[in-house]
Amino acid sequence: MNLISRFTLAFLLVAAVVFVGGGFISYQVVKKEIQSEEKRFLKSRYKRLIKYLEMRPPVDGFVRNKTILELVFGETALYGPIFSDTLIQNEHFGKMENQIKLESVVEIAGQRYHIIQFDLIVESDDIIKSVTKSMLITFLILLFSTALIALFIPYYLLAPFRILLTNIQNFSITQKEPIQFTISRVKEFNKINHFLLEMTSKIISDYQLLKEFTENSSHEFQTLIAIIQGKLENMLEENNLSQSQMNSLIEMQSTLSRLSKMNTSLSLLTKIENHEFNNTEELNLSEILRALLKEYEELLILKKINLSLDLAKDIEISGDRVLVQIMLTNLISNAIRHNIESGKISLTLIANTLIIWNSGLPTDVNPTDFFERFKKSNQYRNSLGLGLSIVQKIVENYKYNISYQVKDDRHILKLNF
Amino acid sequence: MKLLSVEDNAALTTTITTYLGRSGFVCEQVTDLNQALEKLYGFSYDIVLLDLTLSDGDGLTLLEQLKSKWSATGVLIMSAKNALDDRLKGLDMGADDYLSKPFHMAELNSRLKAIYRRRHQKGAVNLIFKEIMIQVEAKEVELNNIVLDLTKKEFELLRYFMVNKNRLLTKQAIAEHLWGDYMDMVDSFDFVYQHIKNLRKKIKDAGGQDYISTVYGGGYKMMES
Repeated sequence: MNLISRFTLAFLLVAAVVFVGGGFISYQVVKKEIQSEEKRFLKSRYKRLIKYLEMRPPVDGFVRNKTILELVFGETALYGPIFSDTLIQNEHFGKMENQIKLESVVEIAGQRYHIIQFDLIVESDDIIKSVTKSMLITFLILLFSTALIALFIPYYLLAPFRILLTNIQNFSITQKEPIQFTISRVKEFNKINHFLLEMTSKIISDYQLLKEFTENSSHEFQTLIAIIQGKLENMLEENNLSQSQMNSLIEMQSTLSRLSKMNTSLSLLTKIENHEFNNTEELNLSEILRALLKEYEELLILKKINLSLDLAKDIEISGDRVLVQIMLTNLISNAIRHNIESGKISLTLIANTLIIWNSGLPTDVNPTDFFERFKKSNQYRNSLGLGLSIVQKIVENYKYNISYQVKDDRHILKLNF
Repeated sequence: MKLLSVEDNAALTTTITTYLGRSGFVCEQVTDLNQALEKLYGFSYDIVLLDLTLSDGDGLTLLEQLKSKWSATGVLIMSAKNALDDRLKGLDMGADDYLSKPFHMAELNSRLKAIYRRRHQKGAVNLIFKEIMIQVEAKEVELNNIVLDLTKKEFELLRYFMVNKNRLLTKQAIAEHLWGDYMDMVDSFDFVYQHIKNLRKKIKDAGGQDYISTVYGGGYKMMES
């Protein structure tokens, strides 16, 4: 339901309540007015009747012209005139209707009379009917015009807003264009437009800065690391190094190598987050896996790991070739690295699912935590702790699904794509 | 062997020059494309060491000119960009090799010698160290005229030692040379040890002398004596 329909619906709901309430009030007011008019009218008729009785005392009681006159004999108390409600049969329709009645007992020239007068101007249910009818008609007119406005407003008044929405939808951070907008006569729209223009320009420039930073950092750092690396090697070539100097130099080298790898991994993570890989294509996963496993053959033999394969043919995955390869490399090397002596790895590829399970050490860490950066089991201090984070980022990027389970000494990774 | 290093970071070139100088390489250095062209028009070089990101342009443009005007000169790209695309592009455009920064000097030394051999010695020259001879093309090792039965990795290892003779090779440098990046460091040290043990044994069994000495805590060195 869009914004306008919500507004309209809320408005109509309130209007309906107001109309019902308004109808009730109108009915009460009109009814009260009519009753007081009737009473006034009855009173004046009563006065005329009294005058008439004074001038020409009747011999007998009569019923005429909505007046009932009875002669009263004996001791009857005088009262009135008082008003009360009564049901009286309508003369024309024969229907019983609620009426105001005037009643009194008076004494004129020694004769007591019992007088009842009533009057029928408008029936109260007629009032209700007409009030409801007029309210309903007004409401229908309102409904119709509201619907008309609700249809017209989005198309004419809200046109700039719709254009803006489309522009926001089409905005992509990798295109270097901020959101374009047209000048509107509505102040608020211009404000939003202006704000969005500023915001998107800022986002784009921030993105560019970030991208440059990652590019520069990975590039410049690697060059600087290369210098230190070279200098260390030159020092190692010198003949008169003490044992401890030699050890320190070697340790520096391996620390430097970790630094360089960490730099590469972190900038890769940032690049994936920045969506810098966008050559999505359909890839033959079965073939990529087979080619990759060939590279690991020697390592598997050296670590005495038994590999069992169950790969369906020509399973396709859509993604960037480089990223898919990185993902698979990390998963496989992970299964090898965290394996045990004479361990096992099993790879199963069926439609849309790749299952890798390997033997390994039981762990206290919740396996899902391994996807977090720098989270690793204590047994493996030397790994960088970024491999699975990179996998996770790639999985997020392509909306694949991955799960990691550890059952005793079996580590099971399941990838759905 | 005469080298021209085109690298905007002078400190890196100096380090390289110091290391390679000991192998008898002559290395001249420039820091941008214009200077590189001036040098190339004036002198002749065996190999150009080319960085891709230079202050006045992309190193790949120089590669193009090198291929058309100085086709006899070998090109080794050394770049901090490890992107697969750059690597493939460079090799497609005719670079002889691609080394991503940071690298081991021994690795650079080995690659430069391989390029030199392919280009200037038609790959025919054999590597000789004392009684050991490697026929690089045939990938065969002869020791006192006996052909050694080496695995692929053992052959690579021996070649690496011979091109870097009298130099200290750390376990790390050897592991990266043999397996590249994908091997876990701690594991690989054991494998390096295994391979070296096997290689030593095969040389000894063929009646050769053990020239590979262990530098305690450091690595290995192949030395005459």
